[in-house]
Amino acid sequence: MASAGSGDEKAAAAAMITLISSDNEKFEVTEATATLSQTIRHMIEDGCTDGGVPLPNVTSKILARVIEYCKKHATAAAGEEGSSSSFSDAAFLEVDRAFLEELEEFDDAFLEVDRATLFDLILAANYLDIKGLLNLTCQKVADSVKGKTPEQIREMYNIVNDLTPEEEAEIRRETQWAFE
Amino acid sequence: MASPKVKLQLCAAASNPGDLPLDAQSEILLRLPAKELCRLRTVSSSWRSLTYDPTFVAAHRTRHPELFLAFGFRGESEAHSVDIVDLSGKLVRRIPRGEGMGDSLSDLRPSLAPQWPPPRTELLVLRTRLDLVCFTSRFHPLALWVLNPATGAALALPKCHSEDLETRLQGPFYYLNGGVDWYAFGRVANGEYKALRITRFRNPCRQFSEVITIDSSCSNHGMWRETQDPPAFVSAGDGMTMRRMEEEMKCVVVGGVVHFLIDFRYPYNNSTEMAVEPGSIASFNLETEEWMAILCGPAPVRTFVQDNIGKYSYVSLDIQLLCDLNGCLVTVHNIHNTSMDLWFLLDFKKGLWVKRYNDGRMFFRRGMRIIDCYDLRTGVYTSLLEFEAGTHSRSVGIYTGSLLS
Repeated sequence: MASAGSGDEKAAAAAMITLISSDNEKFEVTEATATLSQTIRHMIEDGCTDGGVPLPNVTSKILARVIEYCKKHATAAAGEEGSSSSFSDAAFLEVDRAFLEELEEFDDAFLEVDRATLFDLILAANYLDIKGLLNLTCQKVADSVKGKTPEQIREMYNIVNDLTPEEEAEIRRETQWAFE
Repeated sequence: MASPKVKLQLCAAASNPGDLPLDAQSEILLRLPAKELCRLRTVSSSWRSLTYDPTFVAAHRTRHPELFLAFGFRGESEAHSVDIVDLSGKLVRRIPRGEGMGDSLSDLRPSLAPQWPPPRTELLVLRTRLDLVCFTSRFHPLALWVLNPATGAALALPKCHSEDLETRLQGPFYYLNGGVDWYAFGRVANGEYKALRITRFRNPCRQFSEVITIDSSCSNHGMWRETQDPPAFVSAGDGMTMRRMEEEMKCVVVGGVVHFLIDFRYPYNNSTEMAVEPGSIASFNLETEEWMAILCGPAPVRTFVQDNIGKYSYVSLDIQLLCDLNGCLVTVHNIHNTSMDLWFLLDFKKGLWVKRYNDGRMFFRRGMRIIDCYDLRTGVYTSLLEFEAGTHSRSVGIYTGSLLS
C-alpha cells in the first residue's frame, strides 16, 4: 500500500485514518481509535480507506464527540489487552480499577448532552456500529422512560399516538397484569 | 461477523425515538424489563409492533435471563391461581384458574376433555426449570396442563391413560387401588416437550410409566403412550395429592432426563433380585423414552447408616433430596439439624459424585406458608415469600422464560 520510507514510518502512516464528516470536515485518528467502529473496521479490512472515509450521515459536531469517546475507550481496550498478557498482581489490579472508575466518570460526563445530541449520537453509534457507545446512549434513553406512563413518554419525546382507542384497549386486555 | 450496516437514508437530526431507525429503537427497548415493555406497548404502533416481534422477544430474553418462581396459589375464598414472582418475592404475574383455556381435544373425545379444575381444587405446579409451567390439580390427578406464563394460555392434556393401560386398569377400580404418583415435565433436544406420568397400582404392586409429547410452540399434543415400567419403585409418599416438601423434592428433571430417588425402604424393592442401596436413582430419558441403568448414590450416602450405627437410622435418609443446580444433578444429603452435603454428579456412566459448594440458589417450600431461598455462595437462608393467613401454596417450580408475549 504505502510506497517508501522506513518500516517505522510505514507503520505509523498506515495506522492513521482520515474521517470526513457530512459537512466536509476532516478528522485524523489512529487506526486503533477508528476500529472501535465495526463499520470502519470492515472498510479497513476491505482496503477502501485510502483518501479518507466519508461519513455523510454524521455532522462534524457529532463526529467530534464520537471520536472523543473512541479515543478514550481505545486506550481502555489497549490497557485491558496489556494487563491480561502481563502478570496481574495486586498493583496491576489496582491500576485497572482506578482506570475503570475514570472511564465510568468519563462516560457519565459524556452523556451530559441535550436530547437532540443524544439521539444524534445514537444514530451515529448505530451507523458506525460502535457497540459501547450504542450501549451507553441507549441505556440513557431507556433509563429516562423507566417508570413513566405512556402519556408522559409521548410528551417527553413528541411521539404521536397512532393507536386507535380500540387497539389500545386490546393491548391493555392482553397484558392486563402489566398495568396492575 | 457483523455485516456492514445498510446506509441510513435519514440524515436530519433526530429529536424523538420515532426518528431513530428501528434497530436503534429496539436497542433502547431491549434494555427495559418485560413488565415495563408490556405497559409501554400503548405508546405508539411502532413500539407495539416492535415489542411483539418474535426476534425482539427472543433477544429480550437473552438479555434478561432472570429466573422467576412459579407456584400454585390458593388465595382467599378458594381463588386458585398460578403465580409468578421474581426472586425478590414480588408478584409479577398472576394467572387465575380458568383464564386462556386451550382445549384441542374437546372436539374429538368430549368425555375425556379435561376442564380447567373446578372450584375447590388446588393447582399443583410441577418442579421444573423451564420456559413453560406445568401443573396438575390436587383432586384431579389425571389432568395436566402446560401453561405459557407470557401469554397466559394453558394447553390441557388428555385426562386419560394410554389406551393399553386404560383397558388394564378398568375405570373406578383403579381409583380405589392406586393413583398417580408422579408427573415430570421436560424439554428434549428437538425443542419438543414431554411429560412423564408414573401411576401406581397397589395389588399387585406395580408402577407404570406413560409419556406424552407437546410440540415446541405448546399448541399441540399427542396422546399418552405407555413405556417400560420403572426399574425400581420410585419414592412416592402419598401420591400427588398430599405430598410434603421433602417428598416432592425426590424427583428432578435435568437436561431432558427425569431422576427419581428410589424408595430403598419400600418392601417391593427389597423383594426384587436387585438390592437397592440408599441414595440410588432411577432415571428416565425423555428423549429416548427409556429408563436408564440405576445410578448409585454418593458412597458416603450409601454407607451413611452403617457408618453411624446407633446415631442414625435409615429413616434419617428420608430427608434426602434431588436438585438441579446450574444444569447439574445434585443429591442433597440432609443430616438433620447438623449439616447439608451437596453431591454433584459429574459423570452419569461412571456414577461419579463430587462434594462441592457452588454458586447457585435452591428453593424450598417450608410447609404451605413459606418459600425459602438458600444461597449456596453466601450460605444464607432467606424467606422469599410468606403467605398471608387464609392463603397458601403446595407447589413451586422455576420459570426461566420471558414475560413478554
